[in-house]
Amino acid sequence: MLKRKPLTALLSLTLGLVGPLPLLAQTDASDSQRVGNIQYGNILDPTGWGAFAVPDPAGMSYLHAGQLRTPTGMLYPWPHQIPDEAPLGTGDWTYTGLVEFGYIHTSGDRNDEFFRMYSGLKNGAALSLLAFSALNPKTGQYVDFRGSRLSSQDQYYRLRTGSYGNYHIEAFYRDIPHTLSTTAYPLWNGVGSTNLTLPNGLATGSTPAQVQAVEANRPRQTLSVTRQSEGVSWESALTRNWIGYAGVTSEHRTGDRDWGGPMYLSYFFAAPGPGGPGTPSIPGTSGGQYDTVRPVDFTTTDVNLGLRNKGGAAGWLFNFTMTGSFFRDNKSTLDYAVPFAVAPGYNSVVTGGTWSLEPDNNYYNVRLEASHPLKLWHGEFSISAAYSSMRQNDALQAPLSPMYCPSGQFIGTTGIACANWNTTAALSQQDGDARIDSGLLNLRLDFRPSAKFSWHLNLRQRDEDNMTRYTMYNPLTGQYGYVPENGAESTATRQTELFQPDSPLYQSNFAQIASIPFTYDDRKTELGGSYRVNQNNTLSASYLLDYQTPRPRERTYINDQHFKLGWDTKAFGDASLRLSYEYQKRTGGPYNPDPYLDAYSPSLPGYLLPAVGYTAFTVAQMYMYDMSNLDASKLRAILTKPLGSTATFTATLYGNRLRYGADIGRQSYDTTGADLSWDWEPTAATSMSIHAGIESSRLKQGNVNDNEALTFSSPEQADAQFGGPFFPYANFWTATDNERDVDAGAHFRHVFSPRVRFDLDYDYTYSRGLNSYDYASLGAISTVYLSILTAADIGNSFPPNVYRMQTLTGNLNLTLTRRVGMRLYGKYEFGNYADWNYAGFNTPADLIVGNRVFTELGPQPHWHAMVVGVFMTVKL
Amino acid sequence: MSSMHRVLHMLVAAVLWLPAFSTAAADTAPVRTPAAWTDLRQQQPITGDAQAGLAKSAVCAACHGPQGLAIAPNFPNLAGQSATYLYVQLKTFKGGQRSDPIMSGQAATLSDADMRNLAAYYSSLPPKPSGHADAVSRGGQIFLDGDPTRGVPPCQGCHGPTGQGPRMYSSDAPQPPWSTFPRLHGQSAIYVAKALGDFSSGARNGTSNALIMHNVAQTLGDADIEALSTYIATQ
Repeated sequence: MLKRKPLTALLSLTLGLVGPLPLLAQTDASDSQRVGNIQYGNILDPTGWGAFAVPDPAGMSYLHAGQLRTPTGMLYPWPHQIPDEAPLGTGDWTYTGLVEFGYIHTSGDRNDEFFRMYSGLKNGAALSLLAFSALNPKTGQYVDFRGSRLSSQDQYYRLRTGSYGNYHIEAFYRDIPHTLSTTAYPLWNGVGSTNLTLPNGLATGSTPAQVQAVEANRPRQTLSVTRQSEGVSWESALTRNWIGYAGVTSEHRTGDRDWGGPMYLSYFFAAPGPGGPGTPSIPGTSGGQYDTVRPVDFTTTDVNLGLRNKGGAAGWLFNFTMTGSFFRDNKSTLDYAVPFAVAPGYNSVVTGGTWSLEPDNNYYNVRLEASHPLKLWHGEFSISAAYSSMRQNDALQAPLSPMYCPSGQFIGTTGIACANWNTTAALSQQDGDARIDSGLLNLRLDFRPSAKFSWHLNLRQRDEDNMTRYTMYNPLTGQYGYVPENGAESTATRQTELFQPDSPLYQSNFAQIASIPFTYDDRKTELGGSYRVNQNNTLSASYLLDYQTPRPRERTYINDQHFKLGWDTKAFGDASLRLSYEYQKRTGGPYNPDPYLDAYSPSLPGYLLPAVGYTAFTVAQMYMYDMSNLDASKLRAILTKPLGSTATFTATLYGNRLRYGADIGRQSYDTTGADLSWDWEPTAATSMSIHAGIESSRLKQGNVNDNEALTFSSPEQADAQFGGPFFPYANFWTATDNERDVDAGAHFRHVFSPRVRFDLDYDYTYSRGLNSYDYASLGAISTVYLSILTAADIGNSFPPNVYRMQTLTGNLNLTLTRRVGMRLYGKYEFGNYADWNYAGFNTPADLIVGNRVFTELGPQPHWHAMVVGVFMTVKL
Repeated sequence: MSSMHRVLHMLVAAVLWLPAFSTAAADTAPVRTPAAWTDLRQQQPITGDAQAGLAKSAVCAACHGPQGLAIAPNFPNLAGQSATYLYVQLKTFKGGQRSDPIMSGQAATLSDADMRNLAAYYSSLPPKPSGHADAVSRGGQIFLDGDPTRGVPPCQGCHGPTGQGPRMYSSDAPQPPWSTFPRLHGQSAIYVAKALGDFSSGARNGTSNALIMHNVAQTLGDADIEALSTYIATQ
């Protein structure tokens, strides 16, 4: 039943279990079954409980004044005051309620992309919080509602109800905005739909100047996605020890975002045309890159159903869960017309392109977890087993759109008939029929032979089976392969990526003819333990062997070994220090740089090796970063130092050094960072904290440019060796990515009197990235560019990318009467941003560069914005 | 005037009129607020003049006995009791956080020095000799081990393993006000049962210590209280 109609079956089971609710015994039911977002909040109150966050001078215990510390030395925060309760009706119910509403006004660069990224602020009235809780202390029944509405794209509502120790039901609705660009000037009409058409005055074959003139007058648009989600969950004690739970969540993402639109490489043409370097000599023809806009219209429905035992049935604790996740893309294609011709004159029949967007996906998972205590050494045995299946079976789409490559036409001068590729009859199968199954078994033994010593053994086996097979075979033509880039590549280069046995035109073409069913099995074995040397010192150590057998990959097996050592000490006064070190060593089987030949035409009968062979797949010394050898050391120290009874200083220092056994590919990755913080809570009325963190990373990789003079013209193009004629040392280059991130802030809270509370926060975020490169000689530069570039032009780095944002936020809460209060909110945000990818984009006309059409100008280089809000708080 | 200004003006006007609105609403919806209680968590051990206390103790002796040992089981023994505990009780009787038909009136006329002196005096008297409590009885089990399955903490955690006062330990963590915790051993079963009943019902809830005992006593059933009272009386 589950195999055929999973959603229906799961829902039926859910309803079946909900049925006997009234008969349930009054037993324990924890809150482990969550649905939706755990954190509910908005920009005015990110935590979602700011209105209730009034520290209670009574502290955390009637036993002692002052706050306790965690075992590592951190102060527990002050508990919050419980809101006053009022009787509800004449029974035993009591309630609390609060509503906060008011007016928000934003000024400054209110349309900046970063300012609007995750908030839907609009000038006008806003409901920042509506909260209502009712409780019957005699029966344990409760109802809790929480809601907020800043705008139609930024709102949440959540209802919880149940009976403590018996059942819990939760339902929610939420809209979260995600602004992607506020400076978009899409060239096309129909943004948001699946069909992008050219505006009046433009048709395929236009010149860059004509396109630029139209683009200059295109309207500014905001690209954004709204995540609308809703769900319901239930958990209940079926018997004293058996707990059932179920939940359904649906998320609907709608909007639009930047997308691509390839029409072959316009920089293929080395001689600069009128559009500048990289543009063809005939303006408006030969290739084009298009920054299109695609619709987002996704629905993801998650269903889960489970049963667990908390009381130890025959000594066993159980948890059994069935999960289903169903992704639906309600807009599965995107068609876009192009303004530039791929080839001059009648050859350019390709007037647009088509995308196949994400396919629908069904995911099923069943999981069983169980544990049982052992008499030996106070031990415990635990097991978890899971099986999952992921399936896609959408109807496949024709390789070319009949709208842009109509029947009766031919692609350029290749002789490829559109009619043979613009229907699904050109495909070897009509549906995706894709499926990946995986199974997991985890066995674990934990022992504590003495109070000081414990050890564990963990065995984990995960096997994956990718059953997806697709052969790129066109029954209409008898050809293997594909017509890439909507036919533009063939039009521009007169080359094809098609293979056909016994055809002089196609029998020697190197073409991909099948999908590659990547998959892997993984077995992890871990042995570890810890020993408490004395009251102040604990040592720990573990060894993990991760044995992977990926297929088809460059290595048939990988051995990843992890040695970990830890020392936790309180030997330095009242401070606690936690030191950990990990050494990782990865080795594996012999490295095969091209394990994918089965998916390419030379593996088919009838393939005739051309006189010059075929181009090497990649340089033999290219090591994929997840397949190459690795020596890694990771060190971390965490110091927690209590300062008196009201303050804490913490410092974390860490450094990772990863050395990959490769010259070609990733060479090294180093990370160094530090986090410092000081927290001070002298009384319930005052708290202050300052924190600063910095991290720098350096990622270095190497590669070698192929000797393009030999491509398709010499048998030496097949020589994959680094240092050989096709990959000479002189063509070697390296690229280094240096990143530095800083995160700092200061936060102050004070209750001046029971009527006046004030919060002030300052936050600083900084990120700087620099991509630099080095090369052995100018041979490392593609010949396509070399004719128009000099060493001085190339330099040794791109300009740095910088993001810096500072915010100052203040909140003043005034209690006017016992029930009514007032809140004044202010936030000032300013920042600067630099990204060389957007360099030179100042006006919409700048978005047309030769045969390239871009869509957005990018975020503002500098911005500042102010939000003020006046709210009234009324206790209901 | 812009629309924003109009809205702001309306908001300010609404805020200014709110006090009248909220008073009317408060009349129809009584709000339950927690009772005030005396915070003993930072109470330091007290000192007093025992001789001066002796001179003031004649009235007390009528019920609590000339040597601080009660003349009837419905009165507590004061001899050997923690001076700070005794001082706090007198202070809360006077302040109204604790109520008793006799003691409220007696304490009303005492000065702070009188209360300290009386507390010092009774604290200096020899306590009732130890008895032979049955550790394996139900009361003994509750006193010594509590009942974790029902959330009952062991009494000895605060009152000491023999009921003769808490066993303090050194720690960097905030310390409870040990000196305010009473010594229980030898108190009559009637008195202990009444005290636990008052804690449980909330009749005695005027201090932070009483609020602790309120939560503890609510975990005890009648049979538990009877067993515990018997055990303490024989300590």
